[in-house]
Amino acid sequence: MNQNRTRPRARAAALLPAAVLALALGGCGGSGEKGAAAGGGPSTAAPAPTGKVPETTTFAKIAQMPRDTGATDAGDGTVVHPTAPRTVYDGPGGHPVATLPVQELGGPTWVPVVDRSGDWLRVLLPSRPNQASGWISGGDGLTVAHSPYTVKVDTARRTLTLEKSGKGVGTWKVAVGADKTPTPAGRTFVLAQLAPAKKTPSPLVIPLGTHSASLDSFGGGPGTVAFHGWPDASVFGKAVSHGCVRVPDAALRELSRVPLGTVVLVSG
Amino acid sequence: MSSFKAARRAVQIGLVAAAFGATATAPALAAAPAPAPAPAPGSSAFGLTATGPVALPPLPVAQSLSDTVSRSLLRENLKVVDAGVLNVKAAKGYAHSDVATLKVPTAGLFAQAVSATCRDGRGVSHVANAVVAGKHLDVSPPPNTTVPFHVDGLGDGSVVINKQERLGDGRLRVTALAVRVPLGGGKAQTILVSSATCGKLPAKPVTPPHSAAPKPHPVRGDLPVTG
Repeated sequence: MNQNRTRPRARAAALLPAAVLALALGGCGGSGEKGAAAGGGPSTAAPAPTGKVPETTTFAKIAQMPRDTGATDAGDGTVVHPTAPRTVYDGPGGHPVATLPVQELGGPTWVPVVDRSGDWLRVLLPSRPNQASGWISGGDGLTVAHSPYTVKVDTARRTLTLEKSGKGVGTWKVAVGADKTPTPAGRTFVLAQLAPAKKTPSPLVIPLGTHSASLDSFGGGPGTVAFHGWPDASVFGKAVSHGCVRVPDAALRELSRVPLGTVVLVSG
Repeated sequence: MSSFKAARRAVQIGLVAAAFGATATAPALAAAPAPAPAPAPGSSAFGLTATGPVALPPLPVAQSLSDTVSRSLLRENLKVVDAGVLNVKAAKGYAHSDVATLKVPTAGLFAQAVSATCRDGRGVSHVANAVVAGKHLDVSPPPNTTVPFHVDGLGDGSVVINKQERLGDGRLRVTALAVRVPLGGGKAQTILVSSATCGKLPAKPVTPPHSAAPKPHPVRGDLPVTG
């Protein structure tokens, strides 16, 4: 499947903001040239080092990847980083379906642990389809850490709430996806932090491990949903984006402290 | 005449010349009774046992690795010792033994009730209305309180009250009364009353604390996202 294709409605939607976003993020519907994409890779699944299974990245689509459990909790905050490419299985001791690379989008890969079975860890993954998850073995070659944060996005209320150790850090009105390009609900995670060459509309883009469900691609990218700032405060509290969550500066400052791999819960 | 008969007669004629009042906390006295039988794994308790010329295996015995096990015996009456109701109980991390109406005539030992309790590796003993050769004993004496006594013609004996021993595997054995009765000629009879053995409950497995996830550092680069 050509991951680069843009559905007709998406293409139309993309044209309008492009003029604005071309100023812009190089992301978030911006003019980001494919060659300039951080960790930029083809939007087809890259082969794993073994050549047998693809890498799970925001550019990949891996149909046989198990979906998340449907749980809506943030887990216990455990996040893991592979120090070497790590095979992802479709179950504890199951079949290899992907490889988790050491880096995502040019930064260290950190993914959240959402389930355990013995020494096996179920982690959320950044590839399509949304809610991708898989099992990796624990132990050597895996750095384990804890994120005290949880990010909650309520698309109905159009708010973003940041919690640290169960206590609220702040709640902000944000812009969420419009009716035809909604911000996808479900459990995902903070995939990366990018500092675009152009600082407007946002000096910081925080891609998540989820994608637009209505846009196969956007602006040359794979339709990755992200948190980012927005210069026009009038959008906050509205459903106007193509899936991204546009946040006020204060929220962006707080989100900049949130470790990679932190769980993001989108409801609404 | 057996040694026991001789000993009983010695007491009856008032030869229990006690060196009362002297207590010691050192458990390993020269006159200390023989060690208790090796307890079974987990928690265990027994009411009464004797070693020496009169041998009595631990009775009754309760042993458990998990759920509560209880045993009772209405009466155990030997020449050397007479005990009324004996109750024992054992569960994970817990053991208890109590004995009512205890008599060791040769030692001049009488007690209305004796008990030992071990909980999570800690022990306590109680003796109610207890007398050794005419001396009243504290209800809850410190661990390994030793009361020596003398039986004319037979030798020195001792009663260790609230005897507490740490076993090689870390468990605690608490015995309410450990009596060494002299029999003459350097021989002795040992009687242990109300003994409980238990270990610490294993600590709940604790997930090793992970280090804090690192503060993220933005990577210079662009990704077209769904603005």
